[in-house]
Amino acid sequence: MESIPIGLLVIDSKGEIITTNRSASEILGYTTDMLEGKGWGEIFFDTDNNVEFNQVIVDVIQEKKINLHRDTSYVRPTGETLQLSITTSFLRENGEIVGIVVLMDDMTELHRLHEREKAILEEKSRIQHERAEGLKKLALAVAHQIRNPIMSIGGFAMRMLKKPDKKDQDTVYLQNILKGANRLEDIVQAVRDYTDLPPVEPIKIPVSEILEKAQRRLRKKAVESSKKVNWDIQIQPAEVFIDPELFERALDEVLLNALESFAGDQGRINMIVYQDIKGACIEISDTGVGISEQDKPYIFDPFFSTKAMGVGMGLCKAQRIIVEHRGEITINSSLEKGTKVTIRLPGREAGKLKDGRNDDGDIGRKNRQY
Amino acid sequence: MEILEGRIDSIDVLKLKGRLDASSAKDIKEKVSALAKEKRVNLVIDIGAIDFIDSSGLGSLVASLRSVNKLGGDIKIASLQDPVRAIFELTRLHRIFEIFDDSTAAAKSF
Repeated sequence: MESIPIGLLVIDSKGEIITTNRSASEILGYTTDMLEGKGWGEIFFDTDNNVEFNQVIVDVIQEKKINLHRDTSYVRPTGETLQLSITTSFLRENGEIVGIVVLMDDMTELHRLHEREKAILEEKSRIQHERAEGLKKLALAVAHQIRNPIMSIGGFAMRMLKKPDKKDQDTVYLQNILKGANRLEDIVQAVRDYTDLPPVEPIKIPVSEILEKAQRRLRKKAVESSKKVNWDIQIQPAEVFIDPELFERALDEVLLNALESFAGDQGRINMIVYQDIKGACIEISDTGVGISEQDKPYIFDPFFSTKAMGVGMGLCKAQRIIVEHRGEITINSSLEKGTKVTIRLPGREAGKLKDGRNDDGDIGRKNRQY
Repeated sequence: MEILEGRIDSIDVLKLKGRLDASSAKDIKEKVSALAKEKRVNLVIDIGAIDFIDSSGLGSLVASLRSVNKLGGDIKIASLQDPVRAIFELTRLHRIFEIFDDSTAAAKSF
């Protein structure tokens, strides 16, 4: 008992602490002599700092329970604060009170690690959010500035093309100008799509519903581009708090990338969904050409594309949507083997939702204009 | 929580009614402190009409006792109901406070 790493206190039916071990002394910051022969109230009720800790003993007496578990902070006489995991049992024999057993485990280091991890994740999310906001402002300004000149260039090129008295060579030049203007307009439109994303309005929804819709849309795209998708889907029942309209856009971008990564006219897409203590996880993997090592650092950057006709805003937009949901999107890829996109969504507690949601998690949705 | 003030002989009696918890713990400490300023440091706290007590409430009683002890006074507790008595006994608060069946007995013990 002396050597066990868990602190032990035994209190008899008269309230006297009759047994303690070394760990209990170390955790509580009192010597065995200071604890044994005294009562809990005589030692711990003297300070205002340990209200939560003291409530543990009050609760076990009031509730008369066995294995009452509490996680609580405890302030040592030296002022140091610990995080304790305490299990208390109220013992009775033949209806008579025998005493109380208190087991305590010092979780301070684990708690600190957990807090540090939480702080790092929050900081990462904040930086991503700031970066997305900065990019949004820049993109909006650029799109606004180049839109009018592009319209003029395209419009005048079109008018000149319609003139009958021009040389063949000029027609080729003008067609190239028009093609370039149209491409720039596509880029401006892609930037506007990115910058005009509305605020997230989450509702509670089964994840399967969203994925099935996304799968249907991709099937249509596959038919349009004469490709065949072999699906492998494993979806555990999971409910997520997402903005379906926005989240669908992010999924569409990820799935479209998977489809376009096929080396030939067919390939496989795996969708796996599961839920753990951190929230929901959606994994989408393909058997496409993969991403080269040199491209990997830039895949979420705006205007980064390896496709001849791509604008390069798809994954950038998907990331922004996922981050707005307080989630995380990561990509693992092996060249010529395929790519796996992992989307993590926080649970209800972690994903702070807007006010105005009813008990079912639904909110009154505003009319949205796109 | 309500604090009803009374006197038995020259002893102040504070009769507490309702919940003695985190929200009312301050009230009792402030009341005892106010009386102490008038050098009224021998008190009876009657908790017969308390229907709920938590660790903050118990802490406020101990803190009040310590504050009057420093001035040479004492606080005696009267009319413990069974659930609260169990807490007092199993935490040995009955070794810190003198406990009496009623306010009169508590006041007369000074």
